[in-house]
Amino acid sequence: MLRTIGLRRLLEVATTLLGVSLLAFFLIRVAPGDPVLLLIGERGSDPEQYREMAAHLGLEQPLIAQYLQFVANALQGNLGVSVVSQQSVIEELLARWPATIELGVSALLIACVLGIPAGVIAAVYRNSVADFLIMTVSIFGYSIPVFWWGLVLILCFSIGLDITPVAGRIDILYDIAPITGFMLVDTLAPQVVQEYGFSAFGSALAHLALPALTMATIPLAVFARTTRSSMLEVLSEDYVRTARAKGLSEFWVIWRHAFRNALIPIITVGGVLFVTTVITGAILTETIFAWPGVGRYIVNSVYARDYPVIQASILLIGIFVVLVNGLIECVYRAINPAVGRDSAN
Amino acid sequence: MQTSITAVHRLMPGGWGNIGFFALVTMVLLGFLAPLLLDLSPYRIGAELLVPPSWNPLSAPILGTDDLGRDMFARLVYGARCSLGIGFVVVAVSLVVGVGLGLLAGVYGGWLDAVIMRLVDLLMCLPSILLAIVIVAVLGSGLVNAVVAVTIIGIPRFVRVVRSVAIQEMQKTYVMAAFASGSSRFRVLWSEVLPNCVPPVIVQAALGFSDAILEIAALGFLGLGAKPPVAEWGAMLADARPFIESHPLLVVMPGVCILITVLSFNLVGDALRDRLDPKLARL
Repeated sequence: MLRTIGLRRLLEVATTLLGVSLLAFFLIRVAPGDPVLLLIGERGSDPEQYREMAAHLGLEQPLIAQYLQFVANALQGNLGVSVVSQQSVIEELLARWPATIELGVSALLIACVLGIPAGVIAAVYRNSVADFLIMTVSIFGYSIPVFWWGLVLILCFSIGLDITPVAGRIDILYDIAPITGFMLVDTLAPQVVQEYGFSAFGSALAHLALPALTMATIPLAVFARTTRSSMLEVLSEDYVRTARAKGLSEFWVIWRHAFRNALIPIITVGGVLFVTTVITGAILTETIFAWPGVGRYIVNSVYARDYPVIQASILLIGIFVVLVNGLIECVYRAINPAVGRDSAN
Repeated sequence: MQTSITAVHRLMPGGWGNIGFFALVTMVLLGFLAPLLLDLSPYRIGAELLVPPSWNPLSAPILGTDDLGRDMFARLVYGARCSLGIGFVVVAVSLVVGVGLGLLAGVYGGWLDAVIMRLVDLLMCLPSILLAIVIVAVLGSGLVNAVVAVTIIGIPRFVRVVRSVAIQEMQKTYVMAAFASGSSRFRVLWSEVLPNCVPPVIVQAALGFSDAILEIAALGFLGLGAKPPVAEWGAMLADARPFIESHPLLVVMPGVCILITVLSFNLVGDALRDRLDPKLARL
């Protein structure tokens, strides 16, 4: 039974991946205009380059052959060349990936650290002033337009209080060679510390603060809400009453007995949020804060009609999301074997 | 009198939802009545630029003017029209398409179900704003294309909820009885399954409204949706960005409008969910 469900899910994941690749493939063929010109750009396209790209796309071949060629190229890591920079798309995207991950992970950490305890407090002191305040803040956080919130934070902290920088990842004074691509790590490299002390790290941290806070707002609200409802459910269980009856301290009952069991839905939500925060949040937040990550790159590529980049982004992000979701499901099943049966249909 | 009070009471979402409901009613009245009653134009360019708000309802401009001397109050009111109108179109179209597909998938099952659900998976695996941007990139930027993009993104939520209700209902004895008495599959779909989908669909519609308004505003902000001079909150925000230091209120006001509208829809949606769909409320 379990095996057939597993196989079925695998098949579903495979078809979704197929769908993502078809979407990416058809993108340039559905878009108005000559696909060859879309891929090499209308400026500076000499006839030879045109013929080369036309041959590369194999436009005279049947669609299915073109598609297979596209997939074969993609599997070899060849996703074409950016119209704007004339660099390999995959290299351009990979170079920006660490910035996006750094921002997304920081945002999610902030959201966990603040949101989960807030949810626990709201559940434990249900219907108290604290619960009311936390839930009010949470529904505001849930409804806030991210792009506006980023600007409001800039207004408060950068323009009003003048304590945070407005754009970029680090002050231009510092010349940091990328090692891992994560600015917080790279600024702690021995040679950097030797040259600048810890001021480079401080600058990177200050640049990260506002975008991370902006991106953290929605996940924070979701964490608080999920934790609260999950905790409320667990706190009414018999084993919590038993634990209390045994005379355990309230602290021990809440964190050891209730919270651990309330964690499962929180982990699931966390996984889903990781995907949506890192990508969705990245697109808007990176644009506001001029953060040199994948999200801003995609938006700029749309402005520049840089179709190879858009095509590759859909493909890579689609694959990323499908894989992360699959991973979450595996973890979830491992924690809670009852899940497989319910979610089979 | 008694009955009319009860009727009104039954229509209200209840709890905090009532506040959201009143805020929305106010917003609709302002958006659709104010232009009729007052002499407002979101496009008329005035001589005085960047006038600070007077905050006095009797002396115009109440909320000041923008960088082209246009009345901010008029633009915000027309923005409400734009956002609520677009939200309605988006939700209506994606609801009809989504409910239809969900019913087909849930009632007929088989390969139809498989095809529909894989399409839904595909739409859901790409984050909504990315999908919207990509659709706009293909169709070209502009308000109409942005609406098309957001409508497509709005479909899966309805398909999923309707399909799961349909699958549950199909296993119940009254549906079997309907089949046994000779009802066709379509008849069962129409008169037995569809009515049961109404409560969760209403909840999803309220929440879908808030998502649609946020997404349209986000596209407008990125310059991929409404174009100047259209009075759309997201585009107004983007226009006001250069003046963030000198005239921060120009940036703050459109955002507050978006926040209030989205918040109201979320409050209504949550309250309706608690009332209509106790099973979902626990999640």
